[in-house]
Amino acid sequence: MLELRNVCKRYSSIAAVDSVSFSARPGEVTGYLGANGSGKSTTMKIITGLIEPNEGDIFFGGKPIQNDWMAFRQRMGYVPEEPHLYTHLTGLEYLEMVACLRNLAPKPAAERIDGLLHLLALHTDRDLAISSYSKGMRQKVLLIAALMHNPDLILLDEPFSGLDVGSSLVLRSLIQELASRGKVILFSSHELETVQRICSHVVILHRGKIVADDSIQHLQTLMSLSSLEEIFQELAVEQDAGAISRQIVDLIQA
Amino acid sequence: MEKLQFRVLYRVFLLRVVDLDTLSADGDPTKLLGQIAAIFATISFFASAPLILLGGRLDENARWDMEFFFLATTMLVVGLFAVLSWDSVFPDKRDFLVLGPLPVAPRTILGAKLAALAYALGLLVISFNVFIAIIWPPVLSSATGLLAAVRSYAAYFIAIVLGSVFMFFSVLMAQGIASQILPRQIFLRLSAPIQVAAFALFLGTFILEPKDVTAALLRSPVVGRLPTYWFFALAQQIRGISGPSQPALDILAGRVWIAMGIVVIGAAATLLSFYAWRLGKIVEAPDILPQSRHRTSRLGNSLTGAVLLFCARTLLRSRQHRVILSFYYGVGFAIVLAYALTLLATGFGLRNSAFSLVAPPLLIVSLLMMCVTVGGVRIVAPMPITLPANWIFRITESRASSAYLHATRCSFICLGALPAWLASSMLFLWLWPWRLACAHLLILALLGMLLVELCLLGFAKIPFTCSYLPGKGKIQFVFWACVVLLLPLLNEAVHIEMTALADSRIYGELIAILSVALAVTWWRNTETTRRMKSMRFDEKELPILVSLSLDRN
Repeated sequence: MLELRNVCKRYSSIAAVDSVSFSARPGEVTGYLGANGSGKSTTMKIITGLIEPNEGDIFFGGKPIQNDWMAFRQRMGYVPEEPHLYTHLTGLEYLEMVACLRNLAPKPAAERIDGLLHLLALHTDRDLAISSYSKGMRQKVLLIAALMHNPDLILLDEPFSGLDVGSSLVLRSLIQELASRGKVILFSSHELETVQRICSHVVILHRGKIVADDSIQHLQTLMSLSSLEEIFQELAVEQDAGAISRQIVDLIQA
Repeated sequence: MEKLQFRVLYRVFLLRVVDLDTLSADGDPTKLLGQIAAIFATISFFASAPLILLGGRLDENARWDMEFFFLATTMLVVGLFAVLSWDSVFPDKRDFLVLGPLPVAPRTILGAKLAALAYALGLLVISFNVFIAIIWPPVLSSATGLLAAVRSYAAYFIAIVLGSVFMFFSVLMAQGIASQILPRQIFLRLSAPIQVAAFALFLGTFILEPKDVTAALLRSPVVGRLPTYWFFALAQQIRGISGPSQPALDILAGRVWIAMGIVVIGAAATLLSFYAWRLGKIVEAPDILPQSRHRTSRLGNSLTGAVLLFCARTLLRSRQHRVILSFYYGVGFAIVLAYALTLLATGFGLRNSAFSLVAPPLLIVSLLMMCVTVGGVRIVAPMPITLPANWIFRITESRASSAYLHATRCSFICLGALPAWLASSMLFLWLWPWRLACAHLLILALLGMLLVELCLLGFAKIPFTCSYLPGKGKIQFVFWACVVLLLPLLNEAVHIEMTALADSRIYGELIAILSVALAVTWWRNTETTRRMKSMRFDEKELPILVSLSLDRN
């Protein structure tokens, strides 16, 4: 189980993440939702160790991850929000490098990479430079890099970004399959319909603070709302979408 | 509107002379430009100092030699700058993708590009001539009086400016023609070899062209083909020099205008045609793609193999790193060439020449190659490639820091020390008796590994993955320290090695000293890294005052 306790991250006096505490259990997909700038990606980066928190503790499998980062990193897979890759390498070269960095045995790693490239329809493009890849192809490379070592914890920060319909369906099913095999999955997305389909538990973040942490069904009952979108609007959206769109049109036509 | 666009683009393009992606959050690109200008201003100062010491008294020959040297050096600096800014002149795919959807006219982009390059070029030329151009021109004229001094200033300035413009436009024209004739993919693939060849050409010409300028030399047909002499002749013509050398000077000076006409028209035509017809096609053409589909075998320990392959691919495929490496290799090549000329002066039959005569320059060439290749890799290694992508190294850092140090060490050895050692091996095994050659190669191997360990002192990074803070390396001081110290040190090292090669007891002592030094630096690097929690991925300058941030609460 992944557990965050009172995690805080401040930039100067601004709190990007403010006393965030929640847990994600094995076998379920935890949706991590929030508007842009609410602190979702910052939390993800804190869990991966890319950003150091000002306060708070993170536990995985009951042990604080800060005590043994190296062991934790071997059990974690991460798909970042932005597909930053070494574009001067080919897809295959990049994945082989990641396999080496993760200390995987050469032969099984090569077989696994080959299989994943086939399954995600990237095999024919494996020898092209990543600079020529589309956003969806880069997203697939990130996904393979995150899964190739069979991690116990999978952090997915907007993994559907840039994927075509077919690949999105595969990924949606894959996330559910991984969860059913006991993986801990923390999944952040703006696609609320997808979240409602695959997540059993959601954490909603607003201005760095958690405003909801429950199962979708329980939230629906509690708030007497029929969909996750309505719940999200109620808890994390301050603007009146209709009024803003009218103002935008008025402004550009003025 | 267009004026505002021009100003914004000009500033962006000027800062792009330094690649902003390589800088850390605290980095200041103008600081790096300032540092480079400071290096040239220092050269200018030291080039002017002898004149002050001599009290301005110089004979005709010395005046010509000095003026030719200043002109040749300025043209070399401009030529190297033109090669270094190869990728900045024409808009790339990023420019097109950002500016394409915006209502910006190609002429505004072209104007801003040219203005930014002209500013950077002007900064270099002015910084190199800042002291020289004030102090030297009155002395360079044989005539005396205010009018002669004014004429001499004008002659020097015109020659320097035209020479600089000629060099820059020549490179621009060559690049423009190549980009027009060749398909973009082939052009991009050939860009790197062309750049390296241009480096070697400029530096080689600078080293080889005779600098003892006389009337007889100016009449030589070979010299008549070298542009530096044309601009030198122009300066003398403006000064109104008469005498036996005047006909030769007139002929050479006449070539300036023909050459200027060709390069200015050629560069303008290729630039305009590029912006008119080729600009929109950049986005359609893919960049260089790897050609082969072969699988690379894993090298040793998987982490070591991963870091080594990553470094090798970066050096081979990143134009920015390759160009910077070429610059340092070019400087090394020029010095090696100078020593090779000494060898050639003894005749090609090196095997038949006296050992004591040919050995010192040969050993210097070998040691210098080692210093340049290891030093070159050390200089480019801190400059990152696609900095935001370094997250993969950070989140996969699941081994002790000493393992990463070992991987970096192997990369430095394979990419820096090994090529120089292999080249030396072939040279020495061909020229020397095998026992003597092996004795030298052992010393060279130990020296190479020692240099690698010295380069790793304080370098707790995976090459090409850490942000770069301009100014932290204090390159202007390191550059001068190397220039001032390296050659005398190498001379001394060669003297010691010659003695050691002749006496087995001294040879044994030398091997022991090098081995101990290697072991100590190896141990120190390993111990320092072992104590670190993780490798460094962000270069930050330590503040002089540390804020407690009490105001935040």
